[in-house]
Amino acid sequence: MSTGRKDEHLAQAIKSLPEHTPAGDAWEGILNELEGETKPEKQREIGWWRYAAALLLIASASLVIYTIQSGPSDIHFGEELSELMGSLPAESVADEEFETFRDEECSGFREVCELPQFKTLMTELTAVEAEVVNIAEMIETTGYDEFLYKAKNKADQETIRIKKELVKLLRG
Amino acid sequence: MKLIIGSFLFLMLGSGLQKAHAQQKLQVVTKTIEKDLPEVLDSGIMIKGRKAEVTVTGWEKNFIRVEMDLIAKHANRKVALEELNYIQYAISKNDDQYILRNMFYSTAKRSKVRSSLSVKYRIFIPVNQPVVVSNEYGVIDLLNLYGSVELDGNFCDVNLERLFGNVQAKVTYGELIGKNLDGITRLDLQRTDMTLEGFAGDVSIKNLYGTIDLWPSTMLKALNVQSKHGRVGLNVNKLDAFNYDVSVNGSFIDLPEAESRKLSINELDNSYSFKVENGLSKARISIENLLFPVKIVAQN
Repeated sequence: MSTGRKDEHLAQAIKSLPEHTPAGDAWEGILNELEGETKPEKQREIGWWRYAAALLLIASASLVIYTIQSGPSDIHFGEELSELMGSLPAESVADEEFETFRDEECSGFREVCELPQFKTLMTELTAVEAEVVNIAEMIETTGYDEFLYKAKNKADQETIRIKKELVKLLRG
Repeated sequence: MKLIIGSFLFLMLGSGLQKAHAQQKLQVVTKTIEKDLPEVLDSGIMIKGRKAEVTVTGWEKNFIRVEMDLIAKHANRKVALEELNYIQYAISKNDDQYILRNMFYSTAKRSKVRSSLSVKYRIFIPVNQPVVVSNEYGVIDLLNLYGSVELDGNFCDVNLERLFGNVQAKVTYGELIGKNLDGITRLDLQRTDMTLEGFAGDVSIKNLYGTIDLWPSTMLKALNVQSKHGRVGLNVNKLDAFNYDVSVNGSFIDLPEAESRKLSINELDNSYSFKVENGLSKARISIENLLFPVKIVAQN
């Protein structure tokens, strides 16, 4: 290819290049570079803030996660072993049998059912049965645990004692 | 031999496993409230507990500190945390008295509570402040108090220690342990077992259907026991340290061998009495019991 044709091709290629206007501070940047105020220093400054911001973000996120996991500061969590969780033991068949027996024995006039001792025991039985109802209500409201187990046990023992006394009187 | 040892180990292991199986691991969620009540009021403090462990301790400071734990227990922590809200408490002031109380939501319109809910009170109070406590299904511990104390416990374990003022206690379906009481003490016990150790001052006890064991100190001024349907045990260091007026109807008096000749027995009405005067300066112990025995033991 001759030199003339090469120049022609070069001129056409130059014409086909896109045109860009340089930024207004382009010379300023070049001058700064020449005077030693280098851009890399400026880039390091921006990087530090970015790192700081990122660290702060991570720390804040961790704090939020920790707060959600740990809940309010006055609430604590622990574990323990228990044998007493559960529902209230059902009323025994013996209770129903006793009531039937007592009603049958005192349905007609019987002297023993009119004795002050018998009446006192019946009053005591009514009182302890009211306690049993209270305990059952408490179990409904607050759950069954060692306090109510103990109370139930005590009330049951008392019920048994009174019923034994009543049966003894009724059987003469 | 190996077979026997093997069987024994197997049984031991088996029982251990059974035990472990019977126990359930519970998640315990506790919310703690702490509050100082700087103003001391004339009538002190009243605590109305329900299913609570109440501890009131006298201290040397001149203000009241209240610490409360609201506790929910369930196998699932989420359930326990949710139902912790069913426990409510209030700290209020009524004229000249602080009132603390805890309550549980009614389940009338809601399904049954799944957790076990309870409350612990830890109250620290100036030693001479009056204290009134009522509680049911829990514990009452009162320690180091010089002022008046009034308590009403239903199905409670009651522990009284170092109380030096006027004490009035009514305990039903409970257990009471008292140590180092000195003042005017009035105890009304129904279906409650009691052990009272090292007590002095003027003590009156009414007992119905409870077993009571008494260990008076030599500083005792007077002891009066009226009991029905409950065994009474009296343990003294020396028998001649007190004067006695003991009577039992429908049962008997058990005395040390050397003193048995001083016992009066009326076979007609099946009554026993033991009346001994050991000196005007000595405190009088009066005990009446119906249908259950009185046992007097001298340690020396």
